[in-house]
Amino acid sequence: MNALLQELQTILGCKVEWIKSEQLKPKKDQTIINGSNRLKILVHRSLSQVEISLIEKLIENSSISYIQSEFDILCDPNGYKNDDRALKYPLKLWRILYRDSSEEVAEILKSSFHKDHIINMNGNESVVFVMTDEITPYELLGVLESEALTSVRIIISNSIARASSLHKAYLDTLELSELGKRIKEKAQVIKYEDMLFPMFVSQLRKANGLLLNTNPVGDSELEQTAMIFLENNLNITETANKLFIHRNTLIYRLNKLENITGYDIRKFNDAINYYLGYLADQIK
Amino acid sequence: MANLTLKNINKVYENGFMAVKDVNLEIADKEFMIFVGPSGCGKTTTLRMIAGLEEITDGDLKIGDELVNDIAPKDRNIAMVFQNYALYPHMTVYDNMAFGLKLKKTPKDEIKESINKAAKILDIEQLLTRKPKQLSGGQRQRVALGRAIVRKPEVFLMDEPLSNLDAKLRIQMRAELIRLHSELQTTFVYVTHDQTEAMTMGTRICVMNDGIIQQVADPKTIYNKPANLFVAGFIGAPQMNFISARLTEKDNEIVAVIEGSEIKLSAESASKVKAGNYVGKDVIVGVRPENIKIVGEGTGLKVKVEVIELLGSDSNIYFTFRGKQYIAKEDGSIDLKFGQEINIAFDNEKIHLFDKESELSILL
Ligand SMILES: Nc1ncnc2c1ncn2[C@@H]1O[C@H](COP(=O)(O)OP(=O)(O)OP(=O)(O)O)[C@@H](O)[C@H]1O
Ligand SMILES: [Mg+2]
Repeated sequence: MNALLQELQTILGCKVEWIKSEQLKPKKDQTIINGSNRLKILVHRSLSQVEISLIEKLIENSSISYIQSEFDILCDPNGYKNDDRALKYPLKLWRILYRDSSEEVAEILKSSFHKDHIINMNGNESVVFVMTDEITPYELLGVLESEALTSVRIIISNSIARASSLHKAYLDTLELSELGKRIKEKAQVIKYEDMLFPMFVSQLRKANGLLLNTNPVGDSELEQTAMIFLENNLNITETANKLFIHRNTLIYRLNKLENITGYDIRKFNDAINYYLGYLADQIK
Repeated sequence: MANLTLKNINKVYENGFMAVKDVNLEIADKEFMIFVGPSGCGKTTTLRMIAGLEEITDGDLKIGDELVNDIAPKDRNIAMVFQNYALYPHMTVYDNMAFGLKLKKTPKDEIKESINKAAKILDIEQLLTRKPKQLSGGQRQRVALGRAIVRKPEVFLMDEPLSNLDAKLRIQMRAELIRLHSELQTTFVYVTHDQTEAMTMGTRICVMNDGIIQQVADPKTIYNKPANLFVAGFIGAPQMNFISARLTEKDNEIVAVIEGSEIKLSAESASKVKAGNYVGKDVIVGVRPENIKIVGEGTGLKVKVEVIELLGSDSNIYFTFRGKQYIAKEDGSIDLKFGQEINIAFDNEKIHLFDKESELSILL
């Protein structure tokens, strides 16, 4: 509970809370007031127009750092920059995106996590502060898709130990989501830890510090073969089995890739160079 | 009634990748249709388009007579079962199964009835009060199936639902699913990359590769009359052997000449070869390991035994011929030694012929 809410409760003599969902409709005997910074305030009684205007003024005059909700931590770049307090438990942010919002989605999330750890960012996105491994992202995805029947993506930040990192972690998930779409094909679950290289290349790109001269492969079958080869630890047999092609076909493709790019990705160094070049090419 | 019609369906993902190419398929009401193919061939993508979880880039999808391209998954009357599936740890089996129905505001007694019925079919009636922690892997998978059943869908969509189970349990659950299908009398669409699963479970199999349907037929036809080289190689374990041959006419009969040795084709095959103008041409001969027999010296092809895999009732004999390795499946009692030279012959009623260029079967 923060000071602003406490103040409002005293003035209005009823329960007052932050709400995060932009979709929520007030019930009878409730009023929603637009707060600052995408936040809303839910007042548990009906208010007159005068009361509403007064409260809006009050909110306007309260400084941003006054507001302390998890939502705000995620969205306010400055509020917690210098807050170096350690969190009680290290946690990861799970950013859960769903195409259609529904009561089912909300209920499934509530059944899967502590309700205080779920933040509804808007009608198609929730962020969860996850501290346990009771449910894997793949399982959650399975339940959401089969019970709520909506397509889902889950993006997972690195582990955070300090309040000051929360905002950055949230920004990371935004970037991961975009990167994932471009380079990780089956991108329904994207984890920070699997995306270090792409993040690295992307940040360098942004800082204009990366000017790699790459020869784009220009052949999506060849690129995909290369990716599966990398994912299978440069193992010819496993890759050929996965793709159900003869190993000679795979070797033919790898040779072709070498002719185009100059990299023989059977060698560790060339594999890394090729991968970086590939990323730099994808992340533009 | 829930037959499915896929007409000229294409899927292009956001990054420009074309995952499904011009798929045309009719799935009959109450059918058990299997999608099978190697990793990345587009099975999941196709299933997700049917479910409505993935948008259809191009083409028409009908459930029954209704065009559903723009209908939300919720309104398609389907249920999905995936490989990864969580049960809520703090809820009983009953509550886990009731979860979706409660959300749909189904009346309490109706929920109870559905669950009891599903539990009976799945033989988990005695587990309804347990928590997931007290269940085995197979029992959990049944509960997951139960969650789908109580929705009373017209179509079940399953994406590799058994791939997290160990081999023994998987075989057991396969049989369960077959029984479930016949009891529920509902359309099943089932994705797997495992050709044994495909061959044992489906009433029909749709073999895919590279986003393209290769062949749709019942398991027997897929095995005995593969439409092309890909299907021939993908279905069957150990894999079909392939070898180059030239087809020629001799004494009014058609023979396949392999390195100077001749195999006479059956009359039926011969007429197809003639009709297709393949006389005098090079083709690919395919022969399944069980259709290679060991014959007496002086006949057939002379080959050298490389590896003998004893499997109990059968043995797989790996041999080389002109530098390439092939496999024959023989009786388990056969007594051969590594390095031994043997003569083999192909069962000429059972050989397959493929066009070198198009890789299509010549015999269909
Ligand atoms: N969201 C996506 N964006 C881009 N490409 C994708 C996406 N999802 C899948 N693909 C690509 O589409 C192709 C088909 O994928 P799909 O998941 O349908 O294959 P699958 O047959 O189910 O394979 P598996 O047996 O590995 O599950 C693959 O090459 C895959 O990399
Ligand atoms: Mg798949």
